[in-house]
Amino acid sequence: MEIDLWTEKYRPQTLADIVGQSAIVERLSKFVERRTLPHCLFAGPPGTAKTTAGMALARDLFGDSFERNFMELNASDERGIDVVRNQIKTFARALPAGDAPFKILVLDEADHLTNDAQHALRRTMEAYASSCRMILICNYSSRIIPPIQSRCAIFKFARLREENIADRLDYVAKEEGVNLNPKGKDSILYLANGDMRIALNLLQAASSSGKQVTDKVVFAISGRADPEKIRGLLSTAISGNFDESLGILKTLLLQDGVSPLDLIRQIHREIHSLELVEQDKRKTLERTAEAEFRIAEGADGEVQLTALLAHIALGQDE
Amino acid sequence: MNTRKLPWTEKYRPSSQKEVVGNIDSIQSFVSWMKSWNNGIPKHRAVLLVGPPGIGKTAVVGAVANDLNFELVEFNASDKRNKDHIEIHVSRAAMQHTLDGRARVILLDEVDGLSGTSDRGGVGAILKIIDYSAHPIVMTANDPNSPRLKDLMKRCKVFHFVPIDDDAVMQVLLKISGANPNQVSEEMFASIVARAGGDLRAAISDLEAVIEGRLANDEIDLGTRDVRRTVVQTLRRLFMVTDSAIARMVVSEGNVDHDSMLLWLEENLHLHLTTPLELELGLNALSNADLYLGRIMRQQNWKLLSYVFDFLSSGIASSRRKTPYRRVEYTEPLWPLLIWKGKKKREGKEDLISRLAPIAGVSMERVYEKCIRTIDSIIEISPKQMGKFAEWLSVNKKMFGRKGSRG
Repeated sequence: MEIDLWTEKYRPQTLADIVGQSAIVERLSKFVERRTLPHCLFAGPPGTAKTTAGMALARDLFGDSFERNFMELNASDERGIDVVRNQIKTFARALPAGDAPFKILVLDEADHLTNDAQHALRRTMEAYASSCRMILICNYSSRIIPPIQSRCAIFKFARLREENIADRLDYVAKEEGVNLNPKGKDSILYLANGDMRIALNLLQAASSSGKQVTDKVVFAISGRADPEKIRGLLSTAISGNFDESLGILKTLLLQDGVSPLDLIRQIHREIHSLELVEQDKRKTLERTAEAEFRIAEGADGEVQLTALLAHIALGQDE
Repeated sequence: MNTRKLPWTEKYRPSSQKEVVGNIDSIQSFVSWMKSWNNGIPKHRAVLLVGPPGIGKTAVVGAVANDLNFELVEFNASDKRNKDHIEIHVSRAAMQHTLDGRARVILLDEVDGLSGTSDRGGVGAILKIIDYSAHPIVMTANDPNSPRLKDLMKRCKVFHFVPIDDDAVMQVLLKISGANPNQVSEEMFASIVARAGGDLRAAISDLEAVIEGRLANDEIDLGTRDVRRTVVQTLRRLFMVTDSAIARMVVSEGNVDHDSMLLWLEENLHLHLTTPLELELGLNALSNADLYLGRIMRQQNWKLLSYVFDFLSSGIASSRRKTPYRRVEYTEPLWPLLIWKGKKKREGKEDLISRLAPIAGVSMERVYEKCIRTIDSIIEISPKQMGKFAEWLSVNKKMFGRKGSRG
């Protein structure tokens, strides 16, 4: 059997194959039609086809000469000013090969470039615009310095919709002969939360056992809690039953091996759907934010979570 | 080179000083300094052009060099500029004569972009070259307060450039689009000019996006106008709901970035939240959002961003308890504008500040607060003092008071 990551194996090769993001794909396809392209900034959460779109665009535009006219750099490996002055500049100033109108440089995780490097990039973008167009990719556009933002057409990638990911999961499962049951699929969709890369990785990992992919298998390999259990934990606390909810918390942390940080984030996801009056909801939200901040700062996760439960259990008693 | 493929900002780069717009005074003095090189080496061998991006600093150097038939040698931030590189490359350019006997001008672009680590010793090397250069050295920079410029400013003649006014930007856009048969609506022109805020390069590049991309008005993210529209819509929808889950959805669908959301809410929240309790709750949510943004920036823990959006959506929506929803006109946040204006007021007084700071023994930042305001108010009471102060600090009288040409 060929060993391969499904995220790579099933990465769309052309713009038309990209799942979701239809508005963006449409605009990018227009650029391919006219064989022109401004400098672009793709911003959005991980696993939403940013890099894929950059590569597919280049492939559609260049056809056979793709290899010679395309370069991808990951800025988080080399984020200093030297990479801009050496690798990027060298690539940008050489003329495009074949009949390509220009070359394309995809700069992944551009928000990890230092400020100095971004300033150096600015002039390179302008000076060699006739031979090279850049596609900068980042999670948060606010980390890109304004002069660069003003030189780019900005595309905002949204999280993928569940049905888009579900379709793709079905397709890959069929291709790979994986037995994916509906509950297993739902659990993958929940955990992926709009991130295609996570979804496919989970599917591949869960299927490696060779058995049917069920919600149990998925939650076990992901190290996360079944959202049902989280809801159980919270509703027990809301009903004022602190001791019992503490028991559930201990099981989740110690037996299921869920990390406190993951647990607090899962709790956060459930808060909006809790049976709480608005005032309590907003207080709980504040406390949850504070707990996540403290845990991220290095505070003891169990203590913070217990305190949060106690606050929720306080409920109408106040 | 095929000019058709060039971006418009390059294609329409001025080739003569006549085509350069704005900053007439600074440009005039710059040109006379350049011309003075024909009669031997002037007092200052180097000048520094300071001002925000896209207003013609680099362009004027190219244009004037072209007019006066100087050879232009350019070094910018995309070149390595540490001590060794500058000593070898720039120094060579500064000392040697041109092959064809033409005069030469050396342009060091974006000197405030000299990297602290990778360009170590760069400023020192430039300073040395200024002392013996046989050719005029022109530097450009954006930020007059950059510590990297401190030493350079002492040794250079400094010319300040200010944003181009909207009328002039409009004239240039009209001229460029006149050469292209495409129709651009008047509204579109106005929105491009407004967004550019005096940055001519940004305006030209937006015009290119509109004409070349043949994009309709609603198809392009043309900055302020469209951002404004989406923010206003999102605010309106947000204040209509009181359910926290729906509020969260409204804000994530609105796709407005957290910074603008925060500013707009701060400016407009009191229009919807009117009772003391509502205000307390709403502003508390806002302050929480701000607190978490601070934590995110300090720790680079972007996972917390989700809570910022919670505070900005659910937090705000659940604050409205009594006041019924009504449709109101929102005002654009003012304070970023105020900061910008404050900076602008200081601009043009850089000469004065750099002279006064060492005398008063305080930082450039403080000298404005501590000394210049005092001098300004003395002069306001007794205008005769202006000459004395100017003489004492050997600066132009124009530097003082509100009537100063750039003050």
